[in-house]
Amino acid sequence: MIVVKQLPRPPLIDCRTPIPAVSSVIPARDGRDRDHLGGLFGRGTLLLGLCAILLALQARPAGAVIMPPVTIDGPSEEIVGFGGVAMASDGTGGLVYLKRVEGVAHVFVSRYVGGQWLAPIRVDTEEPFAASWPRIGAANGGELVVVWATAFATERSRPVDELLGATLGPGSASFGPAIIIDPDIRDGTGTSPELAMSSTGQADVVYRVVTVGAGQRTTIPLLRPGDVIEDVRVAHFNGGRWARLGAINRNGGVSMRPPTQTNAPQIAIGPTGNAVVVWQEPDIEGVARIWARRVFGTSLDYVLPVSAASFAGRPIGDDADAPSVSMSRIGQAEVAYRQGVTPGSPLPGPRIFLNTLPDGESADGSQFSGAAIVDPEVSGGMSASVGPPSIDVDEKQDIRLLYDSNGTPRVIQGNDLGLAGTLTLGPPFAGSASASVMNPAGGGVSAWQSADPHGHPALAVREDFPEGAVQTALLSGGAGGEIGELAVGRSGLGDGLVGFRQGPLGNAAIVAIEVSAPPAQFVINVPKGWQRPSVVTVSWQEAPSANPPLSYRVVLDGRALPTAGGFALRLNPRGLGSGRHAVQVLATDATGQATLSAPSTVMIDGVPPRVRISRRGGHAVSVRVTDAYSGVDTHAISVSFGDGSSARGRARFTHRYARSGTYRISVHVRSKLGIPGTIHEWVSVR
Amino acid sequence: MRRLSTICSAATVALLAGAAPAGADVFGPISLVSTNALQQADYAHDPAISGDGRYVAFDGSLGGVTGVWRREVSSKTVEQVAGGDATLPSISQDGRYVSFTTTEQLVPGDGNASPDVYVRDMSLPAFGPCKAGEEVPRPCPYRLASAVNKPEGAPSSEEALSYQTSEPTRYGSVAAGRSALSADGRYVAFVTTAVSNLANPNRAGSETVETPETPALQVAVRDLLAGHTELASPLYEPATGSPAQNAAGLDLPVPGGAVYSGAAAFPSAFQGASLSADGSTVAWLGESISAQAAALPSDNARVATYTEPLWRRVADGPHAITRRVTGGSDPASAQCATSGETQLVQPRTLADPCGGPFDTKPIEPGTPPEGVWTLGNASNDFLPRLSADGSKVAFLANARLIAGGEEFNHAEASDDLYLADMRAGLTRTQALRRLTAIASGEVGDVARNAPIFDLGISPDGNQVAFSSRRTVFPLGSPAFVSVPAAVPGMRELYSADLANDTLTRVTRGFERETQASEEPHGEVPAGEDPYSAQEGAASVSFTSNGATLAFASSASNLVYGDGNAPKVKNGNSPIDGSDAFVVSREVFAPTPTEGSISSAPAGPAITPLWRLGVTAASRPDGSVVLYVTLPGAGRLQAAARGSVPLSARSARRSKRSRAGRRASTRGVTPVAVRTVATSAVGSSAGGSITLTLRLARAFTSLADQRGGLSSTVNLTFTAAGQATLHDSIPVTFQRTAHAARHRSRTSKAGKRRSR
Repeated sequence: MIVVKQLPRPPLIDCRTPIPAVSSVIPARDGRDRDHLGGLFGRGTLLLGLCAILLALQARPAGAVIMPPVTIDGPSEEIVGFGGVAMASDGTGGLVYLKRVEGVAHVFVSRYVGGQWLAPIRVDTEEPFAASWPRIGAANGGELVVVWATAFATERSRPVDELLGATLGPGSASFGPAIIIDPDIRDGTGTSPELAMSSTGQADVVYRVVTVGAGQRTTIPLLRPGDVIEDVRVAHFNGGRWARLGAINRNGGVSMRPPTQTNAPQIAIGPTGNAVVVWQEPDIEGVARIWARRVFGTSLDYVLPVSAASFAGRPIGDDADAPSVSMSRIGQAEVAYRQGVTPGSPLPGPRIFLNTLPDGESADGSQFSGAAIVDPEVSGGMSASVGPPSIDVDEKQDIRLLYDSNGTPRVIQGNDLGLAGTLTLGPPFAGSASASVMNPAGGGVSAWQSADPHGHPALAVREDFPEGAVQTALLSGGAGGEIGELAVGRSGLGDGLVGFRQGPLGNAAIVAIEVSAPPAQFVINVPKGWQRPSVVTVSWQEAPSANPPLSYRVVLDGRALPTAGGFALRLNPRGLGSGRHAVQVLATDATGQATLSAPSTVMIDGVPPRVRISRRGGHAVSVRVTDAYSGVDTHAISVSFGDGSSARGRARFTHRYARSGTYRISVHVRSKLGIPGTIHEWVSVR
Repeated sequence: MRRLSTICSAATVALLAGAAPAGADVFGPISLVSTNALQQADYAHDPAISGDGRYVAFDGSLGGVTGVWRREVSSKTVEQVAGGDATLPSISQDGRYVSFTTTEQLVPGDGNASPDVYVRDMSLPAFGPCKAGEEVPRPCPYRLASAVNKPEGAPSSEEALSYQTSEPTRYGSVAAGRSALSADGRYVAFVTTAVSNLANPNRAGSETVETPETPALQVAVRDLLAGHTELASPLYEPATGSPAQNAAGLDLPVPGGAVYSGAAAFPSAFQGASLSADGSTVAWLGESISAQAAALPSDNARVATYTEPLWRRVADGPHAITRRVTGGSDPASAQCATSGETQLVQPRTLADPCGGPFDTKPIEPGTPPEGVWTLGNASNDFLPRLSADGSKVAFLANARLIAGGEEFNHAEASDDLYLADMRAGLTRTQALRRLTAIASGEVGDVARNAPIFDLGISPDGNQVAFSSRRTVFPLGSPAFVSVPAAVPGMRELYSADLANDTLTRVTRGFERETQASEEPHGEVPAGEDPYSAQEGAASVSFTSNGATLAFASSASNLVYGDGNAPKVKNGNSPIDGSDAFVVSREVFAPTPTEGSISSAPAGPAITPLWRLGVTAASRPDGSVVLYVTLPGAGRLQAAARGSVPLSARSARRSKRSRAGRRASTRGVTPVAVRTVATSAVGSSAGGSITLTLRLARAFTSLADQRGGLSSTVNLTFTAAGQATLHDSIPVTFQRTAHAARHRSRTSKAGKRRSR
C-alpha cells in the first residue's frame, strides 16, 4: 500500500526565461560578446554566478529518493529542443538542450554537480549558425562531452552540416572550442546521434548521414518506396580527441528506411571504452533487421545479426525497429528491439525481443545468444500496441526492461540465465517514451509518459528498491504541458537523471528529475580472531554512491556508535564485553538514504581466565582454570597454595594441606590472547 | 552588502518577471484549404479568411473551372462564388458575403464589358447571371457594388457605372482582395480605373445617372444597404482645409486621379483600396497628394506622380478630410502650422517641424520626385491595410527613413514594412513604427534586402504579417525569433507580434519546424538562385481574433500530399502550383499537473541486540568501576562476591554456621563467601553507563592486603517486557600503597582535629 502524499517542495528558484536574458552572454553582430545588463551590473557573469548560487541553494530534501522536478529553463518560446541528459557514476552529469539566441538555435548545458543543477551555459559560443541534434555524455569529476550538428556551408542551395563536439573538463567553467567530428553529414536530416560515455572519460557517438534523401535521384535501387541511402557512422573520443571510424553499417549500397527517431542507431559503452553499436538495416530480403557491432576503441569488430529472422520455423518478413542497448561493466551487451508484424507474420502480434551478447572475453562472446520474446503476455493480437523498449543491465548481468504494452507500462526483469518475471506498473502510458534504470542491488527506476487523474500530462516515476519497497510519483514542471522528448542518464549504481521537454515548442520548458538510489553495498574489515577490547578497529571501504558526501556510523550489536569522519573507527573498549559482537557500518548519502553493510563478527577477550577453587574432602582443595573466550594459556598458570607449596603448567590442580588452617591461594593465569590475571582466595581447611 | 542586496533584488525581479508565460507567436501545422473532399484546386490565389475563421474565399481553378471559390474550412465544402475571370475576393465576418471583381455581367444592370465589383450573398443559390424578367423570379445572389446612385436602392435596379475607355475589358472598377468589404458585408470599397460617371464634377444631385466625366482612379465606397455610392477620395480645398465641393454641395473628384496608377489594369494582384472592417475608414496609395490633402507650398507632394498612402474616415461624413498617413512632410501637424515653414529643411532632419518621417527626394530638373513608394507596377503590395477600426495602417515604403540614418546603397530597390497610428494628436513621425529593415545594400543579397512582397494586418492591429524572401531581420524590435533559413529560398510568410515584440516565420515544411518552403525546380548552376521573386507565400489575412491566418503559397511542402505543383513552370501562367492555406496561432495556457511523490521507504532497520556488555577496572582507592553497555531502558544491579576470612567477631556472629562452629572450635579462621559490594542504577535508555562498586565497610581492609580482594561481579539487568539479562566479570578490589598512606594520613589528621 503506497501512501501518496505531497512532499513539501523546496523553494525552487525559477530561472526560466530570465536566465539567459539576464545572464547569458550573447554574441553581438560585430562578433564581440555583449552583456545585456553590462551597463547595469558590470558583468553578466556576476548574475550568472548569482543565479548559479541561487540554483545551488535548492537543497534537496533529505530522505527523498525521487526528487521533486526542477525546471532548468523555460517555459519559453526560445527553447526549441531537448537533447538529452547524462550521469556519471560519481553523480555528476548534465543536460543539454537547444535554445534560440537572437533567433538562432544554440546549444545550452546545465551541469549537475553536488546534487544541484547549475545555471545553463552555452556550449557553441563560437558558432554563429543554428545548432541541432545536441547530445551529451558525462564522466566522473563533472566532465561533460557534447556533440551537435550545425550548418556550415551550402551546396546546391541546401545546407551542409557538420558534427561538432566540445568538452567541459573537470573543474572547468566553460566548454572548450568546438572540434569537428565529421565535416560533412549532409543537411543533417535524420542524424539522430547517440552519445555514450564511460565514467572514465571515453565516448562513442553513432549517427546517421543521409546521402540520398527520399525522392532524390539515385542509381541505387530502393528496397522500399521512400527508402533513403544513408551511412551509420561512429566516432570515438579517447578523452582528448575524436577519431572517425567511418560508416559501420553492413552495406552502403542498400537502401535504408527513412530516418525516424524509432529506427535511430543506439550505442552503449563500457568502462574500458569498448562499445556496442546497434542499428536498423535491411537484410538481403529487404526486411529491416537489427544489427550490432562491437567497437574496441577505434577498431571495429564483425557485424552481428541481432533480430530474429524467423519464428517457429517461419520467416519474419516485417521490419524490426526501436533498438535499445545497454552494456554491463564487464562487457556483456543486452539489446532489446521491437518486432513489427503484418498479417501473415508468424508472430502472434508485435513483440519486444531481447538478445544477449556475452562479454567479449567469454568463449561464446563472439555472437549473440539468440533473440527471444521477453513478454509473451501481450493482448490484442496483431493489433496490439507495443512501444519502444528501454533496457538497462548491471554488472551482474541483471536486466531491467521497460516498455509500453497496450498502454500499460511493463517491466521485464531477468539475467543472462533467463527472464525472472514481469511487473505491471501504473498509471498507464500517455505517450510511448520511457526510461529504465537498473539498480545493481536489485530493483530500479522506471519513468514513462503518463497523465495525472485530470488527464494533464505528467511523468510517472516508480522506484523499486532492493528490499522490495516502492516509491511512486507523478511529476511535472511548474507550467505543465505535454511531455516531449525524454531521456535518462544513469550512474550505473541505480541512480538516474531523467530530463524531458515539457510544453509544446514555442512554450517549452526543460525539466529534470533526479531519482537516487541508496549507496551500494560496501566492504567492511574487522580484525580476525580474539581481540583485546582496546585494540579493535573497524574499517570500511567507501560505499559507491552517486550522492556524495557520505557519512558512516559503526553499528555494534545493533547500536549505532558515534563515528567521526574517515573510513575506520577504533572501538571504545569500555563496555565492550568479552564475547562475539556483530559489527556493521551504516552509510548514509546526501539524500538521507542509507545502506547497512553485511554483518561481520568481532571477537573480544578482555578478561583473564576464570579460576574456580573448591574444597574437596579432608584437607584437599582443587583449582580449576577456564576461559570461555580465547582459551587458557596453561603454560602461564602457576598456583601458590599458601602453605609454601606451588604448582604450574596445568589448568586443573588438586592440593592436600598437611594440617588444618587458613590459607590464601594465589593463582596466576593468562589467556591465550595474553590477558593476565591473579586471583587470591582464602580457604580454610580442618 | 547593499550592492549585493541590490543585485539580488534585481535578479529576483528579473527572475520573477520571466516567470510569466511568454506570448510570442507559435504556429501550428499548416492546413491546405484550396481543396474539396475530392480534389485539390489546380491553383489558388488571393485567399481571404472570414472573421470567424469558418470560411476562406480564394480565386483560382478547381477542376478546370476558374473563378472565386469559398471553402468551409471544417467540412471541406467548396462552393463557387462566381465563375469566369472573377478575382480578388474579400469576405465578410461570417463568410456570407464575398466581394470580387469580374468582367462577367452578373446582374441585369451591368451592361458594360468592363470589370465591375460585385458582392455575392452566399446564402442564396446562384444559377448563373441574374436575368431580368425570369419566369420564376428568384432572388439574385449578386449585388453590384460599382453601381451608380439611383433613387431606388433595390438590387434589381442596380445599374453599373458607365466607363469611357479604349480597353473596356481592362479598365472599369476594381476592388482590392481581402480588404474591400466591411465585416457586415454592407460596405464595399473600390477604385474606378477608367473615366466614369461615379461623381461627375458638375453633377447636380447624389442620385444621378450621367455620362462618364469623372476622372479615372477615384476611390468609392458603396453602401449596399442604402444603395448609395460615395466618392471617398475627394478633391482637397486648401482654403477651407476641407473637401472641395461643387455648386450642389457635392464632393469633387481629383482631376488627375486620386489613386496610384501603377496597377490599374484588370486583372492585377494589387489594386483597389482598403476598407476597415467596421466600414468607417478607407485607405489607398495616393497620387496627386496635394490635391487630396494639405501640403507645403513647395512640397514634393505637389508633383502628381508623388505617392503616399492616404487615409480618410468616410464614416465622418462628406466633410471628412483626407489625411496623409506618412510621407516626406507633415503640414497637418500642429507644430508645423505654428512654425510658418513653407519649405522643408535640407538636408532633411527630424528637427524640422514640418518634416515627415521619410526623406523623399527633392524636385530636381529632369528627375521625377519620389514618394514613399516608387517600386512601380504590381510587383509588390502597395496597398495600405487597415485595422478593424481603421486606426492603424500597415504599409510598405521604400523611401529612406530619416530616423534610420544613411542606408545602404540601392536601399531604394527594396522596401520595408511600417505601421502608422492614425489617432489624432500624433505627428507622422511619432505615429510611425518600423517593422523591418534591410541588412545589406549589396545587389542580389536576397537574404538581407529582398523586398517585402505583401502584407496583412490583424483586426486589432497587433499582428502584421508579410511575405518576403528575406531571411535576415536585424531589428531588435520586433525581434526575429525563428530559426532563419541557411539560404534564401521561396518567399516565406512572417508575422510580427507587436504585443510581444517578436517576429516569427509562419511557413515551414511539414517535416520540421526549420524546413524552408520548397517546390520542385530543376538543377541550377552552383550559386544560381533556383527560385524567382514571384514564388512563395502571399496574400495573408487574419480572422477577427488574429489567431488564424490564411495565405497562398506556391510551395509544395507546406503540407503532406500537396500535388498540384506543375512540372514545368511558366511564368505567365496562373497554374503555378499555388494553394490557399490556413494556419493557427497556438495559444498556450498553463496546464498545471497534479504532482505527487509517495513517501520514501524507511532506511535499513537497526535493532539493538538484547545483551549486556561489561568491562571493569580496579581503581587505586580500592573501588571497582564497571563500564556497562545496556541494550535499553531498565535497572542494572551489580553485586560483587568473594571469599573473605571472617574476623572473631564475625565468627561469633556466625556461630550458627557449621563452618563457623568448626573453625572456631579448632582455632582456624573461618572463610566464607560474602557479597562485598553492591550497586544499582536505573537507565532510561540504552547505551553505556558507569557503575562504581565500593567494598562494604566490613571488607574495606581486605583491599589493602597484598593482591587485594578477588571477587566476581554478577550483573542483573531487568527491563519491563524483556528477558532478564545476567553477566559476570572477575574483579579485584585493591587499594594501592600510595592510596593507603593517603587514607592513613587523613585518618590521623582527623583524629588530631577531634582531640
